[in-house]
Amino acid sequence: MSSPHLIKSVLRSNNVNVTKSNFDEDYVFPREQLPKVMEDDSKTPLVLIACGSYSPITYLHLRMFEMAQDHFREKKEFELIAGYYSPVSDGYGKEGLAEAKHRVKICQLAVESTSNWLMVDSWESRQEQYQRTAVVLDHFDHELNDIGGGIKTSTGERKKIRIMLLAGGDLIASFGHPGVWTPKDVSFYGEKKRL
Amino acid sequence: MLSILFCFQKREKKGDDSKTPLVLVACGSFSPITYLHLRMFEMAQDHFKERNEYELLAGYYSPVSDAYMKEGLAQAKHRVTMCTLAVNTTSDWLMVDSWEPRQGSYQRTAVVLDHFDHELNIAGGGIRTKSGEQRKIKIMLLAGGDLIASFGHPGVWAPKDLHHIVGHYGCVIIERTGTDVYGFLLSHDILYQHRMNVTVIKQLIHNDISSTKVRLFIKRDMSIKYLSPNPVIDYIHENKLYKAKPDPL
Repeated sequence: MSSPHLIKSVLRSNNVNVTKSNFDEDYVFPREQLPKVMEDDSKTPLVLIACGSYSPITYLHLRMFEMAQDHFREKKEFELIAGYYSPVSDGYGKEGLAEAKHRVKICQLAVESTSNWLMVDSWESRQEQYQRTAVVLDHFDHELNDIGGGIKTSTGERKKIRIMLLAGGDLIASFGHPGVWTPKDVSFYGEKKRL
Repeated sequence: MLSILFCFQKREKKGDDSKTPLVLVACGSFSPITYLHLRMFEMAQDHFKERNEYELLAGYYSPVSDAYMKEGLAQAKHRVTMCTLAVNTTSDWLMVDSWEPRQGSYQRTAVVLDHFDHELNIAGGGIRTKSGEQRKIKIMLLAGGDLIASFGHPGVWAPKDLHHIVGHYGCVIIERTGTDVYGFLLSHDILYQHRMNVTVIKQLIHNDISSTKVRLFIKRDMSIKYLSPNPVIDYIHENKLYKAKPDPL
């Protein structure tokens, strides 16, 4: 992603008059691949969120989660329990973006036919306006921990699920582009590790 | 389980009589077959669709025999099955021929291409055109840059064979990321002599999935998902292929 494109997108998103994409179903936060109980109580439960255009989703996007899974298996701190794709809304106005409902559908086809731990959340894509990534992660925190109550351990105790952003080097590089990310949002991420 | 019959199913009439009918043969270890191996044929298909000389009818994988004794070679029957799973579940124009691996000894590529020529043109009679005429099918070797680079290794390929493979048949080379195929063609006498029979296809999306790395990932219990089709991955796990050998006690 080049810096001028990003700046243009962000500036444009405030003015774009986008009709909400007509999804075939009502919105429901996906939980079908979320385990009810942790396997290893000594670890911190973790969910990874991959924000992006996914226009279209590719095998590389799917590999990202596999590589992350290998990584966390090696380390002993986190138990990676699930992964979500959060396709960006049409309000982002980026060049090459197919309609949100199509991008969500192809992500769903990809994860349903090839995976048993990945899901697609369409909340972000259903918003008329572009949602800052910080806000999207807050939404996941709310759904997984406030509404969902985190995850149970084998003793019945509830643990809060840690949420991290999964990204390619291009998205992280954009953190350095002036005007694209607000300092408040970036420092928020400073606490969250990147892979 | 494995059919001994040469499995050429596409005997329909050719689409375009003005073009030369073509079949591509990919020789290799395919230990295991990966999405890059499958992409090679797709890239070749795109290339020939663009041009008006050849009509690409079908593609074959010809896995090398166990007698090749290369490091990392799973048993031929497994490699053939994995290739078959890959093409049956993902393609409608690719097939797997198991003649080469069924031979007791290593078969030179020139001989393998002769086998295809025999099966397709002599035993099979070529292909019929719309006007009812039988035409000979042109056969070419489809290869990655690594196989072609091996043409330059002294003692590996007999010059007679290279003339036969490149001069009599022809080569389609998919440029492997990081290799300089054109430079190599210029420098290699036999390839240069038959350069009109050499087609180089540039990878526009770099894909460097390597079977060697895939085997290593399996050995280290790492995920190989999305590097090979799922049925191939399932087969590998069911048959415990490429796992680390247990330490002798």
